[in-house]
Amino acid sequence: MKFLKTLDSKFFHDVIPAKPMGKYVHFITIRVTESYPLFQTDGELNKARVRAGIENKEPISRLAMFKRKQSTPERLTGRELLRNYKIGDSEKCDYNVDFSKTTPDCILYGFAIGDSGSEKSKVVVDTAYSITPFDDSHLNFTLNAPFENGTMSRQGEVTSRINSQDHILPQVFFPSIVTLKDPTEAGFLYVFNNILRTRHYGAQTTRTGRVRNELVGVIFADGEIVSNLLWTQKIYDVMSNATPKQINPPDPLNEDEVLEAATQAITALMSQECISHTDFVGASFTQLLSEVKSITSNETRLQEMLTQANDESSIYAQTWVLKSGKKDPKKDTKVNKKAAAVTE
Amino acid sequence: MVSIYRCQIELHDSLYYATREIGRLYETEPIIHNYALCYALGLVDSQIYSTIVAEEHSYRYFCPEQVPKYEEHLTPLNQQGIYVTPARSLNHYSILNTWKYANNNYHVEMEKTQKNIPSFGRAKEIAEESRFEFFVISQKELKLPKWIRLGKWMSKAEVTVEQLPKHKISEGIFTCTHPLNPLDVMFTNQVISYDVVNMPPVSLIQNVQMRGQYYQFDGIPNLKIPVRIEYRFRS
Repeated sequence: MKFLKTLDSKFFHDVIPAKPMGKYVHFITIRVTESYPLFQTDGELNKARVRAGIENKEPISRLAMFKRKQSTPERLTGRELLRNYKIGDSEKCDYNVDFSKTTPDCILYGFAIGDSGSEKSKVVVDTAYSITPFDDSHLNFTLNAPFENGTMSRQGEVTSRINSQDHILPQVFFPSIVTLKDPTEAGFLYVFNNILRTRHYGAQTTRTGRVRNELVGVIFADGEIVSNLLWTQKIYDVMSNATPKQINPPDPLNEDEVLEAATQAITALMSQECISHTDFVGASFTQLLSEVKSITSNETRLQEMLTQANDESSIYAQTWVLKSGKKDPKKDTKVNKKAAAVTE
Repeated sequence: MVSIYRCQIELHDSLYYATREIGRLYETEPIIHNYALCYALGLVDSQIYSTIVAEEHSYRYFCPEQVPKYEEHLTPLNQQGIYVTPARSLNHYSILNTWKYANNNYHVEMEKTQKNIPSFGRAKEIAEESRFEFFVISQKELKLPKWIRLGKWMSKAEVTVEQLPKHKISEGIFTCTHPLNPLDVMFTNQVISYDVVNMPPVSLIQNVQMRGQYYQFDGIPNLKIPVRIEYRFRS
């Protein structure tokens, strides 16, 4: 324990363990769209037809934010920082092409390299679902490339440069829990910082994917906790059963009400869990969050944290990952190093 | 005294694993293998269930090679008298998703592929809120986790467990309506007819007519589970 005073050291490991040891930390976040992001495959926004709430059982279509569309940008945020401060092997570590296997990113978020082994992710993210239905959370935009005079035809020639695309509206809320298994203190801060800093999700070629992560709390437990889907459904129930009703389509939801309902919902759901857990939600979380922010916003402290995370992951790599590779040096040829981590 | 539990899985995220690969289409069959369930339920290499395996086979975050160790991992479950059957779908629907590998370079050059690994494809996944059912037969009382993770994307699913009423053992020809792992039943029961569900590493069988001893339960006349099932890897 070097960085945080608000947390008990029992929540963390001193070194990254080789085996799952049953310590979990869950980051409880609400992802709020701030511009018009795109989460799609095959030219269509991702959606899922599920029950609206736990009590309100009618089915609705929801927007879906797939897991890798959440974890990839967060990984890249962390990698950018490591490169910026020239920490560890970050220069040599090529994402999805040639992982160095030693950086905190490789060890915490995992990699898979054909024949030369795979590191299981310690960070697990699940598909997040919008609270509001698909129909009230998207808009179809027409995109065109007109001539300079602003019209689509010139001297009788009509251009075909016109298309349309569904976009997710601003102020759509995606409750999402990020789970980190077997954290060290520096590993916890590394992942926490990535979530706090990441501002863009979704299609990389567009510049419209601004999303803000509002953290509601952090839960330490000895196992998995509720799913994103159940939490989202509970929030839907809380907000639609409130008087006056807080879900009034097509109006966007009020962020303060969402955060309050989210806190209420997670507290209610956690009380039904049958595992041991320590919750930092509401007032107890405010103190922790400001302590974490004081580290991540201070360049010296941030570098200290990144260096610590890097040292731990290098030690882990030397002990477990690179050691087993040495047994058969032939296996580590350039060909086999081709990475195979899926980022969807 | 043997305890038998009827367990239900409800998916809270879409589930994917490659049961079949048809070119660039990867299909998820709506049936969950019993080996997979043992890992997902945390029964393998666990202190709680006394199924610790030898250090060289222990379950680690880092896997140096892609070689499964089913025999080493599942034999301790036999010693503890724990058996999990494959899970069948109670209700499900499928969705198609496209996936691809990505990298974070600003500049990308086309490289000659050196390995025959596809860089994109379509996965047929089982949608959220689909439900599955399986059975756990155990010599001791078991407490299973409420939330588990399944498939390649580690999708979250909720497990509900119901302990079945007292059973009696009957003998004769019977039909098992649940899928079974043929390796685990064919050495103790005589399998007469079945349908095959093709999937690696051991294809499963369903609609199995067999002769032998089976568990029966008061008030659930259609449920018949063969007695003496355990994990077997060599005859």
